[in-house]
Amino acid sequence: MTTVTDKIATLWPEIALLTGAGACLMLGLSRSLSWRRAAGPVAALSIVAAVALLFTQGAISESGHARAAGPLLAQLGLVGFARLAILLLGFLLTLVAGQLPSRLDPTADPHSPSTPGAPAPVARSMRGELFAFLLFSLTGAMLCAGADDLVWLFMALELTSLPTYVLVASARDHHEAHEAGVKYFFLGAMAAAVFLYGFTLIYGATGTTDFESIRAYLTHQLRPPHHELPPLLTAGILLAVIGLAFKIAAVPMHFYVADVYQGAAAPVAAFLAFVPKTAGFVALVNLTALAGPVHSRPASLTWTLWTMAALTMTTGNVLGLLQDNVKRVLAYSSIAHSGYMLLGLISPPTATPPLADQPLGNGIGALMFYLLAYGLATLGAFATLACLETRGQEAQTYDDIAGLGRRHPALGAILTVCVLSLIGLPPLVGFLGKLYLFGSAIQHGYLWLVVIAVINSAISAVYYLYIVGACYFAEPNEHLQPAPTALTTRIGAAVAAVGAVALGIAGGRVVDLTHHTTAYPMHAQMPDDRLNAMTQIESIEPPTPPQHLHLSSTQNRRP
Amino acid sequence: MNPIWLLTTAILAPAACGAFTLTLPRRDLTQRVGLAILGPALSLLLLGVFVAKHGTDAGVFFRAWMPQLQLNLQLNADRLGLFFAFLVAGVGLLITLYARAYFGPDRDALYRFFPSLHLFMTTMLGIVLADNFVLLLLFWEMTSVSSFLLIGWERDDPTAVKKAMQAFVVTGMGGLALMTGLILLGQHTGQWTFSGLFGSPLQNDATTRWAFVLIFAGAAAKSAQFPLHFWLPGAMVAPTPVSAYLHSATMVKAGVYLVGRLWPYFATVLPIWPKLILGLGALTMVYGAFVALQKTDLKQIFAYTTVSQLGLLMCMYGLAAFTHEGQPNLIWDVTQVLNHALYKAPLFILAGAIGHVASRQLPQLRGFFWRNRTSWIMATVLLLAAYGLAAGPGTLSFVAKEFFFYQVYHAFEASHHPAFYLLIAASIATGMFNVAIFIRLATTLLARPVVASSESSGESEGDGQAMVDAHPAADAHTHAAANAEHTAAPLTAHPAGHDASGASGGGHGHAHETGFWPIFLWLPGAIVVAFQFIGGLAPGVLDRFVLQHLEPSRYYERHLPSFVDILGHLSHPQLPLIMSGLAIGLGVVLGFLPLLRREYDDPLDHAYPGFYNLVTKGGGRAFGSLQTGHAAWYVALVWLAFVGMFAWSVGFDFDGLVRQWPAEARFELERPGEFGQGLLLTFLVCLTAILLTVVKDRASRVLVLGACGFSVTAVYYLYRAPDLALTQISIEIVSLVLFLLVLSLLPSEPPRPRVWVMPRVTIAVAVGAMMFWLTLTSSVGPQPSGAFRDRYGQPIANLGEFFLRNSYEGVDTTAVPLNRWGGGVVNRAAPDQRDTKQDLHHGAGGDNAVNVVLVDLRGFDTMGEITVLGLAAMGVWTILRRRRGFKSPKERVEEEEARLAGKRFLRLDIPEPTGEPDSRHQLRFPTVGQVGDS
Repeated sequence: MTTVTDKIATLWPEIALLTGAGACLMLGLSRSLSWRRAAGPVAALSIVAAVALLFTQGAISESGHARAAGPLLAQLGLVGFARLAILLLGFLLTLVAGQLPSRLDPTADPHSPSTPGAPAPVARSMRGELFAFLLFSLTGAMLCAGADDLVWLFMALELTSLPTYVLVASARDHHEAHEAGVKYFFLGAMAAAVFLYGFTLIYGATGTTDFESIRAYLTHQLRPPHHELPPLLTAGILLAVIGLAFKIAAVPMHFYVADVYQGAAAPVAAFLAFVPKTAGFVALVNLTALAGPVHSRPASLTWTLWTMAALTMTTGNVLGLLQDNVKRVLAYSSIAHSGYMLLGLISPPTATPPLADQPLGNGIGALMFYLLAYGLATLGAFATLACLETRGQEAQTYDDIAGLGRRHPALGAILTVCVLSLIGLPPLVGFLGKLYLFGSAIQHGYLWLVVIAVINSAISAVYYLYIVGACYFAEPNEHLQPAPTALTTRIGAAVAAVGAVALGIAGGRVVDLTHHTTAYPMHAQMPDDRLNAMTQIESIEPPTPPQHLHLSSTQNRRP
Repeated sequence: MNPIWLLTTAILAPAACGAFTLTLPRRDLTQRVGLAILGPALSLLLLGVFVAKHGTDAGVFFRAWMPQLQLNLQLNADRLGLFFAFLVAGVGLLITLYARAYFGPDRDALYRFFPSLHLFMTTMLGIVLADNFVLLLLFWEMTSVSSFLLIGWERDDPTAVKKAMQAFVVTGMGGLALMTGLILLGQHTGQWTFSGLFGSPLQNDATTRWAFVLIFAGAAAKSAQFPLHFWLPGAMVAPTPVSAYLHSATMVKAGVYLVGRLWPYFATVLPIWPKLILGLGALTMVYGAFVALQKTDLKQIFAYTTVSQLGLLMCMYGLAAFTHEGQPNLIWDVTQVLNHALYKAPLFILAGAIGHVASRQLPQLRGFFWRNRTSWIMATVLLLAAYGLAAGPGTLSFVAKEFFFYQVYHAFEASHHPAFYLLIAASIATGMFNVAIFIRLATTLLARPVVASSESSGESEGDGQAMVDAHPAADAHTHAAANAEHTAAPLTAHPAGHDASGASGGGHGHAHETGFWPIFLWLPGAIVVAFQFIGGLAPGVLDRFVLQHLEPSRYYERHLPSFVDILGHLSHPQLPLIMSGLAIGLGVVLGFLPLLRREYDDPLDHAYPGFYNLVTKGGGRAFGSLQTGHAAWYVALVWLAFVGMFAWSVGFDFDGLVRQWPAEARFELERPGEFGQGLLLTFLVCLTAILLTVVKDRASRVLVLGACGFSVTAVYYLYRAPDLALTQISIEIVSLVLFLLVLSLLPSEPPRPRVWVMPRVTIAVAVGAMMFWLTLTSSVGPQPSGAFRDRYGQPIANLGEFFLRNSYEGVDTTAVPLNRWGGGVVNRAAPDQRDTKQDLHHGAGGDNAVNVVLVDLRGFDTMGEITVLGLAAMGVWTILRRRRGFKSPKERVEEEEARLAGKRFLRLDIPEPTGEPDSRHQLRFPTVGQVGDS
């Protein structure tokens, strides 16, 4: 049986991040500017350390398992892969946010009306503690990936989100940011209440919060032919799904997205587009897996996700078309992409032979790959925006970035590559992502949903092309200029664009990785000792008449 | 060289050369053109080497790329693929030369043009040589990109960008449909290559049908089939080299190629194949020709004839579903495709050339033939190509059309379906329209330049023709001008930008060149059109050098051993020849008649703007009305979603969630009178809660809230939880006092804006009811089985009972926990070995279940709550103290004044929204007044 220490021993990367976060917090609050400036590098270093620890740990902890042979990466499992992806993207996000704190003025009290809009002395400003929030949130997302218990999952989700509320409000000195922060916080708290309520119902229905125990309970209690889940459990999972829709920015919890992304600083918006989304999707993968293998899932769950996917992508794309603010466009594109990714969620890998061996059919793998693809592209796009300013403000609208490709070819090219990857054009990573995702959904028979997605992709092409069009086909904006002190941001953007191209041309290994780390056994994975314990318990259980096994019977079971 | 690398290099050569041109300095025009020519030339050379070494039946070449996603570098250089590859590279070479002449010495244009054009060449070569589905898709989508770049060439012209986007969206959506179809086919058959499909014959099942329909949708979008054809005429805003190359000779053929690639697998298996393809193809064929006749812009005319011809090519493959004399009914399909390229590319090239030196508007081209030294050459080449369009005798086109009629005839013979009468009529009508177009072109271009109506009446026959033409043409002109003015039809609007500037002699912002290059304005067209006549007059030559090697219709080899032999059939008049004659005769008559001469506005031109408006207006209104920016509204929506979700799951499992449990739940009343008191108190709680929403004044509202709280306290007391009642009452008192204190300091309440109360009340009631129901269900509703057990391992019916049972007696410490966090516990010892004395009193030992839950069962939780509360209090205290300590005297004075004025003590710095409320910019938040009293 896993003890707490065993569990903690698997969390060294997270511990490294937390340590880094603590250090950043202290450095950021220091009086000395040079100390405060050290916060960024410390954050980056702690992420590097976490990656290193993840690899050592992957080699140690999983080597004893059945998957003995194979390359190091393949031994990571879904959890490991998600953590690795979060760390790598997190590193890029830290780069992108690199100079963000120095653009804020700590001396300007937003409550004092004294010098509104006066340029802040850069030399004196530096809010290093912002990096601490980035790291806290990354830690939360990683913990989410590793969660094997409802309580744990809830805590991890909150750890992911709470720092982002602060980040949204504080990383930009603009009233929009404060408003965005407040909105994000209120709606986020409510969504958390919803999924927490769902969690409690799951607990109420099964009597346990532990994933393995829930799965074991269901495996042993709900035998064929009925395969029926307790209705309370279904209701709980549904409520949790709807609450988690907030994290992944899916209908009907998507309302905040555009307002918040617009209000937040561009690097923070990039962060919001990837980290909470990843955490939410990983949590959703875990939760839906609780409902058992795909063929025995309750229809209500499948139809909920189906409807959610269709509505989410349509809402995102249609509203994206109406915007003239690139940040809002990217916000709606974030919604739309969540819709596509939900396709993967309803097409989990199965053990049936025709699907078991090939990636096309493994929707969870496709989802993970798509998350990576989407994260890279969206990060690049937001980072490009972060590199630009017009009249001292962040460049936001189509008019603001007009002629970017002609005046700043490198930034224009980065933005174009990222946007084309979001459309899903070859040979960029977005194309492979769509292929993988749609292929898996088709394999599972969701042809109509794929057709809806196809129509949506065509709609989305219009607004993505507006961005490209603004870059290359529009009269250049005279006031557009690169933002000062944004070297690391530019590096981050460039790495993202290069990554989008490289993964598109040679992403086969990553596809393999996502497939193998999420292949079927994940859902049935359970340490043997626990399984044995469960069987023993069952064996001494007093024999119960079979109609007790599922809830559709109306028999009173009270003694 | 390894064949696969040979082919891959041939595919990549143009794009590589195109990319290299970017490295040259802009002024090196000659080197740039040289390098650009090298691309397709290299492709041609390598393809030639390949054919010489491996022949045209070399089979499939494989190299793994991403086998995980079924993406492999698998090329199939068979006759069909090689034919298209030669076509793409060959025409590409000529177009490169033409582009140099067309753009003149415009350095910036050529700097931008060659990379885009050559990227397209590569993707097109990739499409026709790819054997792997995903590889095909990859190149297919890339053609959409390069096409977008080239159509939106005039980047400062919003119309061009709009049309480029339209083309991208239509063909891109087609590409995605193709993707879906190919994935479906691949997963259904397990084969991801065309060649692999030979190994697993298809069945006529639903999946295959869907796959076919989706694939055909992709092909139809690319090949401009009705009703998706509108993007192609729109794409004519591109420079003419692009139109000549992408939108007539090559890219639009991608769909035809795909259908040609697929027919051996599908045509005879799926009954839907001829129905779908023939239906749409025939419609496209007639409609395209019909519209083409009524256009006045040369490029528009040729664009619609392209649409028409693409319909014909589709029909040709549709007819392959039938059999004739035991063979598939398909005659020389490659010849048909070649024929179209051989007259359509010259037509576009010359249209551009004439537009370059004069105008593209037909009415302005009267007598162009006579205008100057080069104009007669251009007019001649154009008319020769147009003669091909009309399928006049002596051209390859005539032969090709004859083949097509034979196919129709054979299919008719084979099935005798009445729909074939329609198809025969459609074929004749198409031919007729094409002939009429030729006649009108000829009469316009050859007309005498000066037209004086009084003098010309008695002149020669040619002038008589011109006369017939004069009136309607002028009419069409004015109509077109009016059209351009007030509908700003994109197709007529464009000439103002680029090509028509030639009319004023300007060209492209550069003076007309002299010397070597301008001859390439018409020479490529002349070269290509020459093949038309070679094919028509000396078919043996074409057969010997080209078709014998590349024509894949080997099915016909027994039946019609060679291309030349089929001409023998023509000497014996059958229905096909009669059809040809009929088409030509009717066409000549129609050409001279004043019928169908008004500018026709293709209603489907509005399809894309209409769709766009539907999405933005309709969809925008539907979704945008939800996206108001009001936080309060979002909150309402979140709760609605919450309730909706519950209703949804109840809809799925009504029995489990609603109907079932009340039968099992028991309300046990211990004292008879208890219920009445409880009811009264509950009524009070509800009443005060409702009053709270009605009362306007702040202070009264606080008092009502207090009343509500005290009623709850009484409920606690009634149900024997005095400790809880005590806690509650103390909190109530403190909060009431605090509230009143703070309220006394607040400014007087501003008048509240009207809010919609009823919906809010409804949502609130729904959320409350749902929470109540679920909580009740989970605590007193039945548990599935075995979720909770008592200490003897017997299942406990529900959660409520679990708490009751464990609050005093509790659990067995020797048991093995069912799960990590407590919950149910099982005694593993056999019943007779249980030590009952030891078992007892291991529970919480408390009689009050509520207390036990708070301090024992969830004791850690309570402790956490207290800790958090304490920390928060400490934080608040620190902040308050700091604020007092750090305040400057001036600030204190100001604050004191503000307080004395009874204002701005609690100031929330959330600014009011500025500017007009725009649905796209809404970031609204309740104002200060609303925050205080929620």
